[in-house]
Amino acid sequence: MTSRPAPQPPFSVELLADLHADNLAPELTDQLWPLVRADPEALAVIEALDAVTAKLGELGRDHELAVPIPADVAAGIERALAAASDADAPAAGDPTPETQGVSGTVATLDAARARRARRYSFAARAGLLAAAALAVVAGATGVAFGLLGGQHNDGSAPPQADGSSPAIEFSAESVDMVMSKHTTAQGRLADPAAMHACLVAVNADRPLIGSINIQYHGRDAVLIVVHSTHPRQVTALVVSPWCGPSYPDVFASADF
Amino acid sequence: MGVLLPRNAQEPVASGGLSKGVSEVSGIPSADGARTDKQLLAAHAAGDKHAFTELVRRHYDHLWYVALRTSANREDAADCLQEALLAAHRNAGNFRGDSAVRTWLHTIVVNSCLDRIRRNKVRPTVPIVGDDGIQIEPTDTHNRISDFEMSFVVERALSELPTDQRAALVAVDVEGYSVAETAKMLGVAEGTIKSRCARARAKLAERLEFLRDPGNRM
Repeated sequence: MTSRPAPQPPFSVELLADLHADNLAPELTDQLWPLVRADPEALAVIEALDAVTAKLGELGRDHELAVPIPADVAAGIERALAAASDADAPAAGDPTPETQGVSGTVATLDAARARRARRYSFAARAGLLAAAALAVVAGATGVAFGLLGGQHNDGSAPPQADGSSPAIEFSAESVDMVMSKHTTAQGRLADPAAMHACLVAVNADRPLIGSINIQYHGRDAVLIVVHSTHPRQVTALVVSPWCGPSYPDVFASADF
Repeated sequence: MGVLLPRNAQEPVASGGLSKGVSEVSGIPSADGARTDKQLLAAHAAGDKHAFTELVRRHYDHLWYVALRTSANREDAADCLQEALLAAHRNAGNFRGDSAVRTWLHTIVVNSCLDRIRRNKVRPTVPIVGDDGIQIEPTDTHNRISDFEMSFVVERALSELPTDQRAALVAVDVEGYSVAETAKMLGVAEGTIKSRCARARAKLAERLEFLRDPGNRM
């Protein structure tokens, strides 16, 4: 195969730029470089392109150059970071032997979640067994609970938790109260959007019957009752008050 | 493809301009008690809800500059900067401490912006330079007038490039990624990156007057 003759000077800037960028066929590249080096004008172009690369490299290494960030951009970032911090609150506020009072120890968010998941996966299994043994109590029981939080959709204010009433635990009674009064838990999951995000995160995106704040193994939790995938049944889930995409742990669940 | 986390980050040549009274190198808080960048990042990873915001406020202006330089337009710059900082917020535990925190954040922002360009390839773009161009300000107190002026001119010339050429050139010549890495980040062939870099360099060489009498050539 006969090779094409190499281009001759004067070389175009475009050709030299492609040569400089190694964007030509190897055979042509090999032919051109000796010709370019022998041509002062072509070499000047190559040196100019080298200068561009060098100058841009200097720019990249200078981490002091700055442009004042617009206030609206900064505000948007800080809102997003605040929301992210709130979503991670269980990891931030969850004391563990590794993080309590240990100077110089860095407990990462992921490590904290992993520890929590290990603890609660056991608790969830225990809770599941306990919940499965519960019998559904039909109708309102009329028992006054010491509510930690929960709004009655009939407009009446719930009794305030004053520390003397027993805290609500995960039980058939608490499930029945949610079902009969369609209570709404207080706090973050009172927001419909947050609740929906939680249900999606825990793979329970089904019609919501109600929710209520409870205590689960000594920790704040939320009991959520949704329609089950089985007809004429409901599913009770115990989740964190921070339930969402970043915290999709289910502490306990049961179908009734 | 999500936001890539940094590869081996470069150390900045200029080490000035850090938060007042804080030593990044020694990690020892200054006399006024301000925490270093690394201490803030560690505090965030340990659960301090305010540490990360305090940290990024120190670097906002530089990171905004980087986002502008590496984005198709102002809106994309704002979006990718936010996306990058959220990624850093989530992955703070992955910071190995072998570079300055600003360098680490800088690289995350660059990767975020290049990834956004890759994802938005079909979107029309407008040059990021407006009537005022990108107004760069020096952040340290040293006399860097001549360097600053040159940087300003280079930045303005860079901002006048078409987005695809600017993204390729920023990745390769400014940020130091290889052609192969850049091609992967931007979702195009390596030859395309080389071609875009070639065109962009030629334009800058002429714009910056590194090239004399370009009109005499074919």
